[in-house]
Amino acid sequence: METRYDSQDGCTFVSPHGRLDFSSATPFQKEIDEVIANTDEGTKALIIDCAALEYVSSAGLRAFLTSARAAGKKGIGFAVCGLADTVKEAFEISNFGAVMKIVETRDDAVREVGGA
Amino acid sequence: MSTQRFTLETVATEDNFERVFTFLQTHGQECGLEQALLSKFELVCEELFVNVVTHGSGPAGPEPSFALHLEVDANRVSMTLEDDGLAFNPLEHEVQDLDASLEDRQIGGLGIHFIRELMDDVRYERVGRINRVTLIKRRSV
Repeated sequence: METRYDSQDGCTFVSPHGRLDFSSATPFQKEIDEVIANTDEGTKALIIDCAALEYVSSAGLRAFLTSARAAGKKGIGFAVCGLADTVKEAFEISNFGAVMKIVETRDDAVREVGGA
Repeated sequence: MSTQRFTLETVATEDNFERVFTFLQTHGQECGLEQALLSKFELVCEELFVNVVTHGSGPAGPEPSFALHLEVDANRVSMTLEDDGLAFNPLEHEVQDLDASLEDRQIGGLGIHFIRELMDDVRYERVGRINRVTLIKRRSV
């Protein structure tokens, strides 16, 4: 799995590419922890763009849960966007919509948690 | 369409998950399974395989052997996982509280919920020294 980063309007985007399973979940989590630890004061939100995420298992979902908590502790917004069918199903079954913002597009995410 | 059967025999170690996954992908596609259906089996298989890797051997015990059987016909897909590790019934595992707040959500207990939600039928049996989990999903026509 590969992770790409970019930022826009004070929001940091993290885009996991490929499969987030039990073997890739831990390194992915570490990368996000680092991103959150290194956010500066200008950062309003961390947004995980899942458009290129092909698969997520419960181990992968745990990384999202941990990231949402870490972002909350750091006082920045957190959202997930761009979920494709199979990945969306995993999020829905887990009822993650109750504990984090899940939206369609990057723009939606910026509007929801980018708090201008 | 006659029933197609495939079997993979390996050892339950973290490194072997890739083989298990490739086996499912290759034969699932060979049988013309839709990716949406195949993904459900991949998810469930990962949960159960990781269980065997994590709970299957005692403190100094050997790595359990692991077999995966895939059976596809026109009406349904059936997957059976067998291991000779410690007795472990994944269906007895408690599902986490899915309505808890972000702070209170548990980290574990999602896997079993996935299995129940994604499959039509799930059975566990202990046969001699073997744990056997059978999962069935009907194919939509």
